[in-house]
Amino acid sequence: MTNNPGTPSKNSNQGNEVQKESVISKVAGGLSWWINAMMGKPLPKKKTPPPAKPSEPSAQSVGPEQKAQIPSAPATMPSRGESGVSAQAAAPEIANKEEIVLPSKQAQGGDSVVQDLEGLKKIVGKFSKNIGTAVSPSLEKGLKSSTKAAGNFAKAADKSKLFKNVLRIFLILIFLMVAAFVAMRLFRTYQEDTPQDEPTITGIETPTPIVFQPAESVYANDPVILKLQEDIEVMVREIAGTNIKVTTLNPPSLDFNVSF
Amino acid sequence: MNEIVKKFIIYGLAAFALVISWYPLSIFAQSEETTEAETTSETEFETAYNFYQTQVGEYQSAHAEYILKKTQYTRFKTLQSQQEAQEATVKMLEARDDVVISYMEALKLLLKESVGVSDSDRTTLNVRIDADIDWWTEHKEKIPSAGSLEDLSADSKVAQGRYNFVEPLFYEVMATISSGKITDFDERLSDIFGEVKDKIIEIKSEERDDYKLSGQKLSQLDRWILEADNRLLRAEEKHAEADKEIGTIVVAAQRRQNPIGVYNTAILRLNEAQQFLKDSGTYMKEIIKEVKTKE
Repeated sequence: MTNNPGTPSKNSNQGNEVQKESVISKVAGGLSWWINAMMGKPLPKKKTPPPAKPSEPSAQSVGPEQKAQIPSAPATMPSRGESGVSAQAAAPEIANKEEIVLPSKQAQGGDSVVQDLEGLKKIVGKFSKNIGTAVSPSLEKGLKSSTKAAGNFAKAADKSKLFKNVLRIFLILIFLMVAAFVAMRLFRTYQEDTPQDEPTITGIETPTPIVFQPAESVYANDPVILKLQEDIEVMVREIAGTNIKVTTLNPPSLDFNVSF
Repeated sequence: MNEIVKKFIIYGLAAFALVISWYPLSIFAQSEETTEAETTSETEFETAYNFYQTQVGEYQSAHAEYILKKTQYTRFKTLQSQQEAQEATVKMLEARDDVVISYMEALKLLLKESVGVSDSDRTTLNVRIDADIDWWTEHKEKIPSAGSLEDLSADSKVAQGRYNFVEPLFYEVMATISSGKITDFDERLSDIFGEVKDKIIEIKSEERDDYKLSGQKLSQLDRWILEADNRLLRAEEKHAEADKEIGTIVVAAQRRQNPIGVYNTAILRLNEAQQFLKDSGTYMKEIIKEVKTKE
């Protein structure tokens, strides 16, 4: 922004004011156009410019930086009624409306009406000047903040790319999980449907453990040997399971200390 | 003629019916007698043991009453409290003697049931137990005649001396019962071992080719027989040591030694003998297994 209102300059005071007015009017016009477009109101096809005034700035006198900033305003401008900038631009909007309506009224009404309209236009012009003077610093601030916001938005856009990637991966994972779940359900359903009688071979065949049984001699079935074997087993079991100590009948515990 | 035949048939049928009806009754009566004879010893010991437990319970309640009355007498020193203390002491001393008597009765029946105890040992121990039962019975009868608390204290001291004298007998009887178990095992296992050795001798003398065992197998069988025999000998040695300890229980008490320590030593030796007997039986099982296995 080359146009700083707080910088005194004798030669360029008038030029600066003109530039300010042109910038303000252009910004206000742009805003009103943008708001109308957003509200869906019909736009005027032909706009009759007001009578040329030497003090009234034209769009061509706007600097290149201002030109660059103006289009960015609608992009970063919030919706209607959300910020102070839009509220402050309400008055210039009314003025522009009057300017838009003016050609049709000129065609319909007489000179008095035209004079009234011109008087009203002057008043509105002055009002718009005052408003522009008051609004321009805050507007610049708003533009600055909008520039910062644009930078933040760009950073956020970079971040949003990362977020999008993460979201994509997340969605892919969810899709895979759902697919796996469906596959498992189908597999189980298929297993339940298969008849249980059919043997299913799983794993590797393992050899059956064979207990070593030595070959029996001719005495294996000898009745004396068998009887001795049984007797010995019974005897060993009885010896091992017997408690030698008498535990059921221990001597009683008595009190013999009787004294008075 | 017809009447004679009729009489013969009628009397014959009557005799047959009498025999038929009497036979099952006689069998039933025999089985009842056998069952009663088999369960008599168990029932006797169990009855005696339950009676002993009852006596212990009565003694404990009498002792608690005695402690209460003694405390009251010590505190108040009144004639009434003295009288009550004397009555409670008499009850307690009587209950205490009942406990000792019932314990010895139960011990006597347990000794009667136990296996492996020689008749001489059983008789000797029974005589000693009976003598002590008589002594405690007489002592119990004397207790109510005590005229004062001091007399009751003196009676209690006499009973204490007698109990210290008879207590080693209790441990001796219990150790004898334990020793009898080892004797029984030793005898039965020795008998089985004798049969095993006889069978091995028979196998060794076998002349048939199919029934002959190789020299290697026979030497292995001899090795197991030797091991089993050694374990039996070890068991007998330990058993003899235990018997020796049992014989010193009463003597140790007379020498003012602890009879319980001697009793525990004897039980330890008997446990060692039991382990050797078990090992011997395991070697006998190996002999049988070796005989049954083909070369």
